[in-house]
Amino acid sequence: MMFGSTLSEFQQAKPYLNIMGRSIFYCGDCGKGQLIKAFNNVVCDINLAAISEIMPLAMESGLDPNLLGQLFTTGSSRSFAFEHFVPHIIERTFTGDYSLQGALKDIINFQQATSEFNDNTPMFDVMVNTYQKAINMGFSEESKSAMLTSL
Amino acid sequence: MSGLVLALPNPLPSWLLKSQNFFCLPFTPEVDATLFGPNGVAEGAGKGSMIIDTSTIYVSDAQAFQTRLKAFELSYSDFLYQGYPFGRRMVALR
Repeated sequence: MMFGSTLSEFQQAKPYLNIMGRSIFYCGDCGKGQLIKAFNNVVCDINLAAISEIMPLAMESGLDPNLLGQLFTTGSSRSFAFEHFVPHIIERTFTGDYSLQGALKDIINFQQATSEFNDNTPMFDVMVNTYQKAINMGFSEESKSAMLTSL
Repeated sequence: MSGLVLALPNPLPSWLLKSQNFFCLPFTPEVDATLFGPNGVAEGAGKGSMIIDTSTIYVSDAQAFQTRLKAFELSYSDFLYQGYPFGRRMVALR
């Protein structure tokens, strides 16, 4: 859980915040809670764009999807995104999870930050391209892992 | 709200006992209306009150709320959490 405001307000609110959750982070002044959440989620989304590209190629190469799933969730490429989404991808289940449409807010918050600082973010740009393809194909209500279907 | 169950600490923090209002609001327009609409929080809350917003999703909107609420001598904080299903599975939410 990510809090953005003055440090004194955070300290005042902390007893109440502790009721709501266990992992509470003070992120800086107002808006930084949203910003750090967007950064975290964009890293997750980039992971998903990567697996969306790699998975079909690996299967075309004759690799066992279940073995791939085990490797992606235990090997050096392991991440929360993989642990959560790869089993669903192998089952080709793209419903009942966080939707592609729901991820748009993170993309917009991230884009506002990049435009403010004029930063170059090629991996983010590729992820957005994959994301947008899936949206355009009508998968906005399906899971973020539906990015796989756009490639 | 009869279905809502809150697990609160014992003893409760003294400031928590004073006055709290909880609103379940989906998106930024509803937050705006609740804060600044007729009989809104901005006019009704006592000076010095703290508003913790878990609903507004854009940085620029949160910062605008903070600026507008300063005129009412109210503080504003954005408070985000990893939503369903991530939050539950990462045990971030109690």
